[in-house]
Order: sequence, then structure tokens, then C-alpha cells
Amino acid sequence: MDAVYYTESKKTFWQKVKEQKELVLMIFPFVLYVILFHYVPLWWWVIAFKEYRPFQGVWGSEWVGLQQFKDLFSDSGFWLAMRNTIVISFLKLVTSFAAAILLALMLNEVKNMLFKRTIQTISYLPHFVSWVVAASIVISVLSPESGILNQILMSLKIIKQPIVWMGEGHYFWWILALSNVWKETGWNAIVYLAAMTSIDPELYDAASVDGCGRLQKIRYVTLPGIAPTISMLLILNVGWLLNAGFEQVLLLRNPLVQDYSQILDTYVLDYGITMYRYSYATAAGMFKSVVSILLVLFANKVAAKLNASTVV
Amino acid sequence: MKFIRKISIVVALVFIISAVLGGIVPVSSQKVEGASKKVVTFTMFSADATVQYHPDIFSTAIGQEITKKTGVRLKIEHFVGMDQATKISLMLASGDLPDLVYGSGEHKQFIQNKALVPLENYIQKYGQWTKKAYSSADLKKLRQADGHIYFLSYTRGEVSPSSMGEGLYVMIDMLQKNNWPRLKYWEDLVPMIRNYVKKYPKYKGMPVIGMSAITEGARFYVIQDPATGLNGLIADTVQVDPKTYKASYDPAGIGMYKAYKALNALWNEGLFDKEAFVQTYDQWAAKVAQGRVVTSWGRSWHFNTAFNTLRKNGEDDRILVPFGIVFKGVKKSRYVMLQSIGTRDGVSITKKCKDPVRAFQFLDQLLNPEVQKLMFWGIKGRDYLVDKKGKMYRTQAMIDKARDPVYQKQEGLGYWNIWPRWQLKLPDGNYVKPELDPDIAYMQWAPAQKKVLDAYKAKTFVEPPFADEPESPPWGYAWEINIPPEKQKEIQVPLNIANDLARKYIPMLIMAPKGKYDEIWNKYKAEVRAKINPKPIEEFYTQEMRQRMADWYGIKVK
Repeated sequence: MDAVYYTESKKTFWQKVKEQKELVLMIFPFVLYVILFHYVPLWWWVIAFKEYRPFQGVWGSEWVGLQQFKDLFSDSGFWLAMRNTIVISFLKLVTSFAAAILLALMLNEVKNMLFKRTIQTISYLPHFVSWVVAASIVISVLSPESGILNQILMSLKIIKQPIVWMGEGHYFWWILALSNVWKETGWNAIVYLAAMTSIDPELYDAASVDGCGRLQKIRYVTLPGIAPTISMLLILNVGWLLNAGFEQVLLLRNPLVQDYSQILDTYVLDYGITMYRYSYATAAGMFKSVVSILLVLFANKVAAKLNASTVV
Repeated sequence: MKFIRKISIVVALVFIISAVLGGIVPVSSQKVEGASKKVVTFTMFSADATVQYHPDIFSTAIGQEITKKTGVRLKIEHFVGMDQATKISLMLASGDLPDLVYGSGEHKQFIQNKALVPLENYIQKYGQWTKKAYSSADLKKLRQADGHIYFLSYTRGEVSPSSMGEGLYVMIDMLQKNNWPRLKYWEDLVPMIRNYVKKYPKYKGMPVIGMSAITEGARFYVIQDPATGLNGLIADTVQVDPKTYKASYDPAGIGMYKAYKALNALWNEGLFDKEAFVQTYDQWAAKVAQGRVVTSWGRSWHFNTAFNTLRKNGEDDRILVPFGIVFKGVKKSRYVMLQSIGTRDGVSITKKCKDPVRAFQFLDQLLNPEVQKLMFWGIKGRDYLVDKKGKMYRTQAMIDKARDPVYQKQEGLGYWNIWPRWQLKLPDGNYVKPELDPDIAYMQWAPAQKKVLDAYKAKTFVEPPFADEPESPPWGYAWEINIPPEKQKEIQVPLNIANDLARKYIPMLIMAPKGKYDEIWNKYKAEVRAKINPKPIEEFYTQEMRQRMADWYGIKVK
């Protein structure tokens, strides 16, 4: 007769739950939250395949199959929005990454704690200002007549005529990227600073012994030390690549830069929601989500290949 | 440390308790209500963004009087921001509607989405005042395409003598320095602007702007006004032939070429606001309030706050007044339009309303002349007086007080625009609103504005030389027409694309460098022709216009 062994893994599901009931209780509200607010709404994706009218209800509305997607992909405005979204968010991704890492590296080198803290606080304050306020600051700084930027450039004799910064499409892309840098760099740098504190000081000492200067220490100790953080944040951010910053664009755009400022989110607003085309808006939103998921998986694969940390 | 810990626990507890209690314990005002006899409270949404809104209008002196008379109290949620369509679209999609709604320019969407209660049976049964205030011809016009009445409109086909007028707004100071010219033609106005800006390039150290305009977001239509206005056309979605009621639609037509070429010439002279297309509405208003804008495109209500600031600062000669400016050769200016009754919007009862009969009775009771006087004139003895003949009037002090925003807010004056009302006069011969009384209208202008009226021997800004006879097309306006959901793709989408093209090209046309205007115009025209098919749009509106003529006047055109 075979002996019966009771090992840990043979415990039933419910036994395990009972054993870890405190942990389960603790996680329960968050699971509930995710289900309620992140999975239940997905059900509404069904209206992307219908011609949804509120008074007919979801089931009363007519099925149209893939018609909404056909309309979407055959609209040149959509592809224009797509182009702008990708360009803008790519610009923003690159600039905000570079700026945050640079700031963190420089702050890390500051040895005067009071100075360091002051700079840090000042640099992340704009993060708490809403885009409504930030946008009007940007617009007035760049304004051709009274804007301070034009006044400085004029008095330095760099330009003769004031430049209408907000009026040129290519400038507009950079304005979005740079104003985002101004607002978020300090905040983004916090994560890197935290990662840097966890680097073993002995490594720096060892580097000194080996004859490394400041820049070399940064190159061979600090940067490799925060590399996992960088790659993880990069993967997470790639998932947002189709989010070029709805609020920011909505508040900064003007008719002159229309062809450069229409992003997917504003397109959904202009040609979907404000025209009461709910199904069309849903189809566009759905397309965006699916592409975002694919992008994250792709970035994750690449990171795994490069042997860096992954999120999934 | 222990101390800090204790404090933080206490703070956290206070937060939690107040958050929980805030949800449960009723606000004290509701208790007071409960004590008085059966006051019904309805919820309401109002998208009226043209006026400042009142946080709780039914707590004011006038509001409380109205509750006493009607037994109804409203809890009104106001629209804030600029984009009504988004708000209403989401409201409809969620199905979360209040008892009463007013959707402003988007009101038709409530009708379209069948969210409203038809009123015609209620009017028959309970509408004792409604039937007096609205004639049967009025009620005919109030019927929507589906044959139902959903609201009692507040626009009553009258021109208010206290209206600031419409047209191209021109600074009083320039008029005075030119000895009050009778302005009518664009060709006469331009040299005047040119000379004025040359002679007075700065005001209080800041550059003077020859001509400005609002272009931000949903207010972009303002810069589309020159095309229709200067050419003597009605600013509407389509142009309608007055004989055959045939609609024509051409987004690259309607006199645009000439109009923007004229603005382009101004731009190249440096007279047109360099920031016109990158500034926000607030920045534009600030410039007007600084008194350095000589002429500007804009609708009367856009100027309110700026003019109030100028008046308060004692710079009322920098206020702008409207002129119906047209190109030479155009006979009549058509900036001032009579709002025909009915077709547009008003307060409606939604299908989610818990007691539609009571809600309608409330709307009906508002038409009681006593309540009308409360709403528009205020409280007797304090806001108006009555002479021996029974005529209501206001003293200069009362008029000034009624203009004061602080007093308005506390009294509840000036917040009742969207409600059903009588046309021009009440049954006892008094004007419905003090603003409709020509004497009071004159008294409320700033000194410089009075000087303008006197100089031109006019009583109002909506008569010659400021405007021609107001326009009132018998078929109403195309922009009021509901486009049915199944035609959205065929009609609304091309209209939006046309609007987007206009948004892109109008600035380019105005800002075109010398000699480049025609090139840009041709590009614009080609793109419009390639992207928009006007046929279905024209057919749709022609059919609608003819339907209206048949329904309202029994005129049939084949």
C-alpha cells in the first residue's frame, strides 16, 4: 500500500484561503476596485459594433458589424491624428526621459543637502499645477506682443521681428514636449534619485581606488545602477505612447496649428462625442487600447531580449 | 514623535468622520423647507453659458418669493467651461438626467435622443397661463419635426432697445475724433482706422490694435462673421432663396473671397491683431478692457465684462459700439437678427422627471404676470416703483443698483433669461422686462454711450445708423434645425469637416503674405470641393425649410 503524504501543495484552494485570510481580506477591496472600474466598463465596447442611440439602449441599437472601424480607417483625419499622436508622444517620451535622468544625475552630485533639497522641491512644484494654469502661462510667455521670450530674444538682437511661437505646427510639437519637460522633470527625477540612493557606496569607493573621476563614476557606477529602473519605466511609458497628453493639447491648441495638434483623444472628442457618435468614439478608443497593449508586450519582449528587467 | 503620531491620528479621524457625516446629514436649508408647507424640489441642469450663473438662485430674495408663489424649488446644476456638446453628449449616454434641462445651443440633442416629455397635452389641460402668453400661431411654431412641443421658448421675436447691438464694433473715441461719421461702408472705415492708429499708436504705453477678433475654440464662428456680414448675408449654415425656399450650401462661397482679402490687406498693413489666432478669449477680452482695441469682431455678449471694466475705470470713451458695416454696393446690413420664437431652445422636462405634471404646472405658473414681474423686475418698492397710472418704472439709483453684480447676486436679479415669458408686454400694459422699456434702456448706458446715441440722434443701438431693419426670415434659421441621427454621417460630418477646413484656412488667408492670397484661396477651394459634397446638405435643408413654410403658414412650394 502506498503511503499518503500530505504536503503543502496538496492543500485545497479553500484551505489556503483560510490560512491566509488576512492577506486575502487586504487585497479584496483592490481586486473589487479593478473589476468594477477597469473590467466592467469594457462591456461597453460592445457599442463599437452597433449604431448606439441612448434612447434605444445598448440592446435596442442596431448591429453594424465592423462599419465603425471601416469609417474610422477610411478617414484621413484619423490618420493625421495618429501621426500627430505618435510624433508628439515620442518627442515627449525622449525629452522627458533625458531631462529627468540628467536632473537626477546632477542632483546626485550635489553634496550640500540644503541646496539639493531646495532645488528638488522647486523643480517638482510645477507638477502640482494643473494644465489649465500651466497652459495659460505657456501661452502668455510665448505670446508675440507681450511674451517674455520674444522680448528677451529681441533685446538680445537675436531676432528682429517677434515670432508667433504658437502659430507654427512644428514649433507646436516642441512646445508640447518642452512645456511637458518644464512641468514634469522634477517629479520624474524623484524615482531615479531614489534608485541612486540604493547603490552601494562601496562601489563608489572602489571606483575611486581604481582611479575614476566624477564623470567616470557616473558612467560606470551610477548609470548601470539605475539601468533597471530606466528600462522598467520605459516599458511602462511605451504603453502610454498613444496618449499624447489630452489636457495639454486641448488647452494649448489653436486654429493655426490644427493639422499638428489633432491627436487621437481630441479626434475622439471632436468627431465622436461632441457629434453624438458614441459608437464611432468607442471604436476609436478601442483601437487605441488594443494598440497600446501590443506596444507594451512588444517593449517587454525587447527588454527581455536585452536582459533587463521586465514588467509582465 | 509620539505627539506627532497622536496628532496625525486625530486629523485622520476628523477627516473620515466629516466625510461620512457629510454624506448622511442633510444640509440645514432642506430642513427649513420641510417645515414650510409641501415645497417640491426639482433638479435641473442648465447649459446657459452666456451669463454668469448663480450658485443657488432659489435662496435669493426673488427666488424665495417665487418658491412661495409656485411651491417649487429648483436645485440647478450649471454648465461650466466651453464645450457644451461634450457635457450633454456624456449626459445623454449615461442616461443620468435631472428633472428639468436647458441645453442651450445643444438643446436639440435632448429632443433627438427622445429624452424629453411632450408638453402639448399638458398645455391643453393645465396651461392656463401658457395659453394666454403663447398664441396658437406661437404654439404651431413650437412644434418640432416629430409634431410635439418640448419647451416654451424664451426668445420672442423682439429686438430689445437695451441690446448692445451686433455688427463690427468700433471704438467711441475714434468716432468722436472723426466728428461722429455715419459709418456704413467698409471702404470708409478702413482709412479711418489707418489714420487713427497712425496718430495714436499707443494707449497708456501699450500698442493700439486696429482690428481684433475672437477665434478661440467654440467661439471661432466670430471670425466667420465677416464673410456673411460684410456681404450683407445672414450668418447661417445655409443661404435660403426667399422665393423658392431653396437652400444653397458652399463653404468656400458666401462672399468669403472678398471678405478675407479685405482683412488680409489690413493684416499686411499691420492693422490686424498679430495675436488674433493664438490668443485665448480672456486675452482678447483683456485687450478690449485695456481700451486699446479700435475695432473688433465679436457678438454683443462677448463684450460685457470688458465694457464693465472700462466703465468702472472711467474710460467709457474706449467702449466699442456696433455698426452694420458692409462692402460698398451692398444695400442692407444683416447683423441684427430677430430671434424667431420657438424653434431653438427653452427649458424642458425630461422623461426621468418624477412628477412631470407638477413640473409643467411650475413652468405655467412662471407665466403668471405676478411671477414674471418678480423674475424680471424684482421686488416692488426695492427694485421698481409703480406710478399712479400703474406703469412700472425704475429710478436712476435703482438702475445703477441693478447693474451691480454683488446686488444682483444677493437679490437674484438678472438670472431668469431662459424661462418662458410673455412677448414684449404683460396684459396690464407694462413691459415684461425693464430692459424692454426704451426709457430705462437709455438710462442704463454709460455716459459716453449716451453721448454716442445723442450724437447720432438715435434711441438704441439697433436702429439706423447702427443697424438696418432687423432681419427676420420667415423660415427661421437653418442652424436651429435638428439633424436626425441617421443623417449624421451624411450631413453633420461634412459640416464639421467644412468647419475644420475653415478653421485651418481662414487664418492662413488673413495672414497671407502680399501676393500669396490667391494661391491659398485656390488651395482652400480645391480642398473644399474635394472633401465635401453639398448636394445632400442642400436637399436636406431645402426640404426642412419648405416643411416649415407649409406647417407654419400653409405655404406649399413644389
